[in-house]
Amino acid sequence: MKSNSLPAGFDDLAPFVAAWALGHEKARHLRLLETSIAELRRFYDAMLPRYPAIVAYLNRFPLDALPEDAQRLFDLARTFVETAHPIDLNWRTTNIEDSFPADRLLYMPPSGSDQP
Amino acid sequence: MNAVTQTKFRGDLAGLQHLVPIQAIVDPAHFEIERERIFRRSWMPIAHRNDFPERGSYTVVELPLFKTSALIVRGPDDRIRAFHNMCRHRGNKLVRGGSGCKLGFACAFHGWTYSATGQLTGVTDEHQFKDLDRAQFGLMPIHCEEWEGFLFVHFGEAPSESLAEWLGVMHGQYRGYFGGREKISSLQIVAKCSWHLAVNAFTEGYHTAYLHKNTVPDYQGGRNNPNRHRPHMELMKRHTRYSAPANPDHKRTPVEVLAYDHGYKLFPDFKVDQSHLPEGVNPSKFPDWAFDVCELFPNFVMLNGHHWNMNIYYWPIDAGSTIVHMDIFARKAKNAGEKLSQGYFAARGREVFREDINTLEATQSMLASGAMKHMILSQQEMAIQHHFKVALDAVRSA
Repeated sequence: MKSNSLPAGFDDLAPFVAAWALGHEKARHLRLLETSIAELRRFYDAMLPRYPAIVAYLNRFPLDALPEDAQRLFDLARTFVETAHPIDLNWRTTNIEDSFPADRLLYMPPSGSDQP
Repeated sequence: MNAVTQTKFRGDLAGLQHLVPIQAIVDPAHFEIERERIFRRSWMPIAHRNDFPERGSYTVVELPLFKTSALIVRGPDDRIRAFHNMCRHRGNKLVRGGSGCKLGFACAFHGWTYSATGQLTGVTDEHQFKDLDRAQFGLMPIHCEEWEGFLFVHFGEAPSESLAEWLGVMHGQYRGYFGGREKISSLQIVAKCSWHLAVNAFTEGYHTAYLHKNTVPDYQGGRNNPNRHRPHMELMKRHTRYSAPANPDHKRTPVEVLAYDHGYKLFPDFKVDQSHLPEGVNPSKFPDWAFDVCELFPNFVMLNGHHWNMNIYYWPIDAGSTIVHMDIFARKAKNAGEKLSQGYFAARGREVFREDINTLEATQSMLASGAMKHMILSQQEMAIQHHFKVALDAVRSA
């Protein structure tokens, strides 16, 4: 079974792991688009004050060798920075109106990785 | 208060038309001429070395324009080569798509194998072939050359200009600029529109205050430049280049502050040290500089910032549909904080890109009505005037 544990000291963020600790750009973007502003704001408000401590903790490890629980924390932080703009900019919706449909975007894999 | 920013134009403005005929955008017969007189005569970027981090890194680029698919691979000798993505036995498509890292490729049909330099390395049950000289059956190369890490392809019989001549003044102006970066995001779409519309959507700044008012409301312009005039615009023999004006009064949002102050700044970042930038980047050395936009005619646009760039490739499928592929690169992240800064930047870039490409099909469908014969372009859209001048001249040259 997949563990949802975070490094010691970050337990307060555990309730957000299942929905928001996402490892792929596409998953993070689609999560944003299907979320209500109210739900996004709960995540945003929880992460905002914790961000400096999160980065300070993660920076202790080499980027390509994060322990499993640190990787989860990194994925959580990554979803946070990639989904913050609707709150930062006071949008009424998480999906900007009059924009190219996300389901027609192909998210290409990172350099040198195998198939998407 | 300073005067409103006026654009300084450089280069040859003769022959530019502010009224551009729509025909090139909607006429399939016109596109067939363009295929031969523009695309077969051009050096076209297809990929960048930063996207091939290891020996054996490869990617497949579909090129419906010339009814082929390119397999691009970095060899053990570090050279990056482009091949027709086709087994030499009976022509099966060798790699079905995507990208990855391997030093050999095996055809799924009969198991022939090729090295990352394109040599035929293995033929199954080889003795059953009469007089098969392996040296004659390597992967078929696509003519290519590299400039500052960009791999350019040419589909003509014999290019009439070298790549250096094709790039002109830009050739020596970007030395080392793209090095040390990694890909941070990559998106692709197929838009039902002419390749012209797709390119043109990214080569003027006039639209930014309107189309992007929700996503990036205050990145450009500012009190002294409310209409966001480009400070510098340069029209070359074929290519164009301009600089975008930063808004010194930009208000940083809470997460922009966090994402950039606990990592590194990508964009917006307007107080950058410009001393390391080569001649070709911010060519007029405008102090309130945001980034540059360069169109390498015909089908490539790059946005160049202080240590990041976006590469946009446009590959026509036919007169009315185009593959648009955008890669974003930035200086390699040293730690998690910088990796998160990249994510912040790329996510906003994606939303802006979605707005840009959302105009394409709406415009194409209306132009197809034939009701409008010309479009009228402002001086801030001079790069588009120039694009059509170069394109129409090429079509007229037999």
